[in-house]
Amino acid sequence: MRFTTKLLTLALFGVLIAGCDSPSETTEEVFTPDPVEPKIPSMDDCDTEDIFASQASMRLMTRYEYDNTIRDLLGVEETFAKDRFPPENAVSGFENNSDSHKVNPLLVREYLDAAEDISSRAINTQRPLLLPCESEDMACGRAMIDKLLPRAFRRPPTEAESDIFYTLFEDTLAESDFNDAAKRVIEAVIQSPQFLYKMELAEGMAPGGLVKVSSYQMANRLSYMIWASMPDSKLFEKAAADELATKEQVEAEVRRMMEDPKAQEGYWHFYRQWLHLDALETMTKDAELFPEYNDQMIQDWRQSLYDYVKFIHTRQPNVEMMMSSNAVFMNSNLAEMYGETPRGDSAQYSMSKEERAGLLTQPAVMALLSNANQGSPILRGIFVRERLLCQKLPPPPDDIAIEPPDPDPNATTREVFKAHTEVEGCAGCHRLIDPIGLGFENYDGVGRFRTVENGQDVDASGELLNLVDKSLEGPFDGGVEVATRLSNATEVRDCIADHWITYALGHPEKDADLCSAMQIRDKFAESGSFEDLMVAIATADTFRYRTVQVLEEDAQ
Amino acid sequence: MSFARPRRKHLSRRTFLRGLAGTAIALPLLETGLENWAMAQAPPGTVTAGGFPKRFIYLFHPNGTMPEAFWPVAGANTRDFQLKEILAPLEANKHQLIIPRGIEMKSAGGSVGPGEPHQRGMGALLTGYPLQEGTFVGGDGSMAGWGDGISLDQLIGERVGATTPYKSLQLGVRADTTAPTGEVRTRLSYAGPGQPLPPQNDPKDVFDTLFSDFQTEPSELAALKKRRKSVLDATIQQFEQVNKRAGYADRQKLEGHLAMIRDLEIRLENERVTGDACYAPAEPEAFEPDSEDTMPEILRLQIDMLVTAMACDLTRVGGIQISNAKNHIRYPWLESLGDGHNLSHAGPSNTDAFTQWVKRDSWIAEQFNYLLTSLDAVQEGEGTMLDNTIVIWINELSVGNTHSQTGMPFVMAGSAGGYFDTGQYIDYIDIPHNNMLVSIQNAFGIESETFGDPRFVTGPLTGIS
Repeated sequence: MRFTTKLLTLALFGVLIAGCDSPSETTEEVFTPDPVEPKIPSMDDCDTEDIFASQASMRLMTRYEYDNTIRDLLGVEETFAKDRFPPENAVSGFENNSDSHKVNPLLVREYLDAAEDISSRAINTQRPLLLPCESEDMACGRAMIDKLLPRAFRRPPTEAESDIFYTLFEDTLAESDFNDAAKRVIEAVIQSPQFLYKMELAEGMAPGGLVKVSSYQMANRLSYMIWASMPDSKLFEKAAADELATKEQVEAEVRRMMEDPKAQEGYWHFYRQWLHLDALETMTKDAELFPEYNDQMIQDWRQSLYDYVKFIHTRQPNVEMMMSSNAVFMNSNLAEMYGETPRGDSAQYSMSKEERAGLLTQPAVMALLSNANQGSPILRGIFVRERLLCQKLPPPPDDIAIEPPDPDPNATTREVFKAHTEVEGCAGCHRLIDPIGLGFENYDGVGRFRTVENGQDVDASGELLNLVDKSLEGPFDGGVEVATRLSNATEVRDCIADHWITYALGHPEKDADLCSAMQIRDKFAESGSFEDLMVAIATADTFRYRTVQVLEEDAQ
Repeated sequence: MSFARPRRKHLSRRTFLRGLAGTAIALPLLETGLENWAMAQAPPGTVTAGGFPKRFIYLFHPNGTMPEAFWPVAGANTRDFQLKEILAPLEANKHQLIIPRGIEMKSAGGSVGPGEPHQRGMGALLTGYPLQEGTFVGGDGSMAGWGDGISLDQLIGERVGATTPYKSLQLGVRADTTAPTGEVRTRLSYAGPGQPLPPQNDPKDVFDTLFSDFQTEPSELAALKKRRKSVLDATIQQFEQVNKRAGYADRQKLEGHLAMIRDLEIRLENERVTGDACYAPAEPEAFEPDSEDTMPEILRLQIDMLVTAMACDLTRVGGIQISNAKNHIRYPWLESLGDGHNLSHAGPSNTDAFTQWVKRDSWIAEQFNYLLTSLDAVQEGEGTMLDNTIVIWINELSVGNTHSQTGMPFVMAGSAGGYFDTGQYIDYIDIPHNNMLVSIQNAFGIESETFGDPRFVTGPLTGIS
């Protein structure tokens, strides 16, 4: 046991902080203990009881989180941020990355404009929710602030923080009216850093030291991971009672939260980013080659995938099912396109098991991984390599014009692409991409199953190469076979786990996350259950502890 | 959950105010130039001899051009030249142009920094620096980060924009088609290394930002300013509460954010209302900003609002970004339905692609001409606003087919208050594009002979100032 006394002290200190998230009234000079060296594990350390956790940077709410949080805080449901705020700068595919999603002058201006719209809406439509009293006086103003602030800041406010809003309210009441005072307070609250950032303070903590995440902070981490929104009243109750301190307490809460419908929206938000599904929005299809296509299908495909993700996560939330289910969800518009009987919106169809197996062969995914005029073996191969296997493909040479070939009415897609990628200098990389992508030749440019293309029998033979697990390598025939083979692959599970870890922590895995990430991966590889994965992440050391930020930005 | 795209419902902040009824054309606020106090405050080189502010505008569109149809036919001297198909729409403003040939984007070179040509071109265009290392994946799989310096527009904005309500405006027309989130191929303006500034793609948003308070009565605006100040003051105090308690890295972020709020406070204080001669344009209808069919209308609106904003001195620096590097857009209004990036890769032997591309670039030239003509319609003293402005039309590549960045198809227009000697087509042989950026900064009294990465600059362009 290598538990040092220093570590124990720090851990206890963390709990203490959690217990008294209380004001430092006279914050003239804040005492900061001497910095300590942040602990970075080596592989061997992961077998010990030692605790390691990364430095958590505060995270600015994304557009999606902002709209959700405004809805849950003020009862105003509107896509203010989605419509107006500039897009996040995503790194590793995730919008919530703490290093890349930052404010800029335009966003700061939009916060002001949005706040004015929101406060009007809130005071005009949500008075009973926001005002615990009917007297239009200062006492009622204070009551409103006392009710609002702990939820908006997602922790008890300090007296000094509250005082600023009391003063704003009082001053406004003197020169204007009660409604205006209430509106101004809301506007100032939702432009405050305590609202906009998911922030874990470091006051009185040694830089580089390890501290336990407080129950309030844990409530925030959990709610933004699972719901992409603020904690609900139950989470706040647990936080107030400091009942998010043990692994068991955290697990129980995660399992409760996953039952909430908000979790489905949160999962979709993850899938949308993990699988780059926003590309659906800018996708085009050639109307001459696909006369059955219409623009409404963009939204229909999106809905179809949303329904599939929801189905998996509510009915059989495990990776094997996600990769192999023959369920497809379609509205009438899509059903006609895919030769099924229209049965209205979000109707579930059990497709032939010879034709469809899971996420990879979903019509929407195959349509997405296509060019405007034909299916794309290249996009499909890259998708499997990068999204499902987390492999980074080496770049092709600089001086080659990278263009998909035009379709040929007398040749199959396979033939057209084969000539294209046999060029010297291309073949090396395409050896990794094409044998997988060509295995999806049974799906045309809009994701329809086919056995004949341009008068020739479809050849959907493919090969898996360059995997970690050599037993998975080898030839296969068609998308169903490759999807089924990958449904049990450890490296696919590791890849999914890594994406979830990145999303949940708000940063790609850092050195200090090593042991936690390994444990999470091991648990998910074993069970394949998405619920177990959520629990594994939430109970991992790097989620329950944090290293206090040190001065050097890049020190991990 | 439904994914029907909602039409925007604006319960805008105008609900606070009794807006005046709609309005007519934009006319200059500055009919007689800046007032004396403003003249006295202005840094040297930022105001014309006639007392009008100098402005800078960039117009961007991507994927290179077809040089055969782009470059003019040269005559006896630099003032004697004939425009070819692509630039033909600019004929009426030919005397206002400087067309510099032979400019190479050396700071975007493949051997000097990471990324593929589209990425490198975007990052270097206005910063003059090679890209940062990073994880954005380019069209060919290569990796790169953000631009690595302050962009020219922002540098000029810092010099000329201290007293205007906006330091600069970044407007987009489907400027985010490659990725739903910000990335290097979709950004041109940088507040500093790794600090990209996003464009606003929705003209309705732009209108709300610029003009929704504009039609307010002065007394109401004064009340609004006071109200906003009280709110932001409380917000600023909240920053002070947490700054000291936050971790080191977070404090830096908080201070950056706080600085932007303080800047916003000052700029809000400078907001104007409709005066005797300065009117907001008519409020645009709601658009789906990501639709390919409405691009021409959106571009017109963005140009109109930028010109009005400058005529009313809301800002002196602006950019309009049409789409983004390596886009795949179509131009259905020209019946040009090819995928933009694919078309750009067709060589000149592919006549259909060539014709489509020339048609598209020529259409962009028409829009550029519309911008110039709109600026020229605003009388400022003896001259026009175009005379007091320098506008550049830029691209991240010269030729899409080869991803080349030699012979960049740049066009300059306007003389920045007589600083530039316009009406010329000059063939510079193989000079770095940073030189053009140096010339433009010099036009605003920024005297340095270097801009961007000093390895790729040899001084200002010769023969034009």
